Amino acid sequence: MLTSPAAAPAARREGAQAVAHRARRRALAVLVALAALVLVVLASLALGVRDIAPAEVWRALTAPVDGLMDHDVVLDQRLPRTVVGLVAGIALGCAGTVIQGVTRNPIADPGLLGLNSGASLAVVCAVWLFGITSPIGYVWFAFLGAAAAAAIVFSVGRGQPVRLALVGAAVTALITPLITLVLLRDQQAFNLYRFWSVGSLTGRGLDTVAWLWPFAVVGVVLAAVLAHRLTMLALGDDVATALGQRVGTTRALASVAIVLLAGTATSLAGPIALVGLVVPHAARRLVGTDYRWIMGIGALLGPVMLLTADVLGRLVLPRSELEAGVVAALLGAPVLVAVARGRTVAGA
Amino acid sequence: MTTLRAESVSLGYDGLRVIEGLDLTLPDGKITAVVGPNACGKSTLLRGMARLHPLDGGRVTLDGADIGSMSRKELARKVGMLPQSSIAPDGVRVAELVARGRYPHQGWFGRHSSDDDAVVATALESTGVAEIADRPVAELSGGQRQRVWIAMVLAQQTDIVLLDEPTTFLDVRHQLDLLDLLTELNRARGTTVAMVLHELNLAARYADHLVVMAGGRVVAEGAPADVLTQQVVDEAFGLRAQVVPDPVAGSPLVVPVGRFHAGA
Repeated sequence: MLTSPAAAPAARREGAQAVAHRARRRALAVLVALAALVLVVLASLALGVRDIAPAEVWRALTAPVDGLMDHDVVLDQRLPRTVVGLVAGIALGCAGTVIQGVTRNPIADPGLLGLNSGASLAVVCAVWLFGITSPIGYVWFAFLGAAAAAAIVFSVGRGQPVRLALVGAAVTALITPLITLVLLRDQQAFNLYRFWSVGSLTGRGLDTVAWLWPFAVVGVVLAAVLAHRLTMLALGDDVATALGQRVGTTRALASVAIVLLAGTATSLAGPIALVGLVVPHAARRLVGTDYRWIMGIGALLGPVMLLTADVLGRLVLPRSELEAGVVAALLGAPVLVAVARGRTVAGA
Repeated sequence: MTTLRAESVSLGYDGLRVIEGLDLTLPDGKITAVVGPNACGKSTLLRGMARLHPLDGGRVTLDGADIGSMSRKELARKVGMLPQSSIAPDGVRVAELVARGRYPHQGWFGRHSSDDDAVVATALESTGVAEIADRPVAELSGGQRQRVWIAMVLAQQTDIVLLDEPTTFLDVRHQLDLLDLLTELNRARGTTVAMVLHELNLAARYADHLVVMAGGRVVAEGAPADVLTQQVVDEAFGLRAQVVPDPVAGSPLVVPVGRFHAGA
């Protein structure tokens, strides 16, 4: 009917080979991503504006000497920003994947849903109203701001992709001038916001991470649980429901996961553009349409991209640095264009 | 065998009642076709019976048990439903899509068993898509794609399969092809099939049990030969038509009259 009966076994054999080939490719993708993560973590510890020999970096980590400049740089600057990059990167990779999966919208990211603008407004208000300028103080405002924006967007958007995007845009459009209003009135808020809004891994110590990591862990666990549900949701709400999924529960869990993950990432590293958007696309390109794989590889590619951006930012300028957020955008845009040309997008 | 029954169900959208107190029983192991004019509530009824649309009143029972009190997965192991709004994600391959029909039989993380593989293989075979199991769904023709979706519903292994306008976007040859396939499955497995169809004559030919709806109620139901009369067509569709025996199958054939052709 579709092929002649004689040709069928051959076609089936080829099919089985192709399946095995793709399984190998997926396993390989995970291994390569894992190796890339290890490499970029090492690079993040070893490379920077200050030249420190790898052996000295190792000594700093294993047997630090108090007051030695090289050791202080590694322990007080490079180690915290590496940890921040890891946690924020994993959170962004998972958040982007959950957002795109649950909205079936290939251009959805924390920014589109208004989470970043909510966090930004909360941070400038923290400075303006309460004079809070230490990261450990304003991360909570960032978190609450993201959560408040998410609460509005999800409750009005009610899970419908187009509606979510519209409400997200509306919330952002409403908040942006409010941020400007505060910045125009408060010099201190303006100074802090200039750096915060770019997105950077510096300036946040391990103490901030110590406060925030439990949120990221819960978020990642939720994302892992959601992955299989998102694979089904990609077939449409009706099909997913007919297959026995409680779509409303999926949406509710996804909202919580998004707030936890994007909230953690934005609180730690500021509104980093493009990582949450690009990573799921790259992951899909590598491992196909099963969200269990997309989520897994996304959790690896997120920190790879963020830390790569951070490390490159330390190296491109002599005796100075570019913020990770800027480099991530420069890296992410071409990747996104390449993916768009390859036409492997979520949803339709 | 299992019997799905709607008991004085009411359905609607945002307060607008579409169906009021309707009763319908899908005969066991038979093919039921639901026909009716646009907006008569036939799709809404089918969706209500699959619990895709909330009931405003009444209940739907499976062997006497209210499906509203079952878990969704439990229901999905007994009643399969292919809605109109299915989306094939870009890049998904035939066998992958069909394997997703195993969802109601799997746990949280969707671990695949060898049992799943066997069921998927059978579903691919019996819908004639085994040879294209590795092709991306997006590359297939409309007829092939619809077969793949039916294979996915088969992988669900339910005694009852509901289909909402499964032939709508297919040309006449592929419509026949699909209805033949469903008949084959019904005869070979004894699966109860119920579908909403637009094409009256194909419905009359393939259905054991024909349900004609209009304005949210059942105008007539029964064997197509008894049900599809001039009066019923006029009442349901407001259409003047002659009904003659189908020269191929002997089922009633509706020949509409229209304004420009007086007829015999």
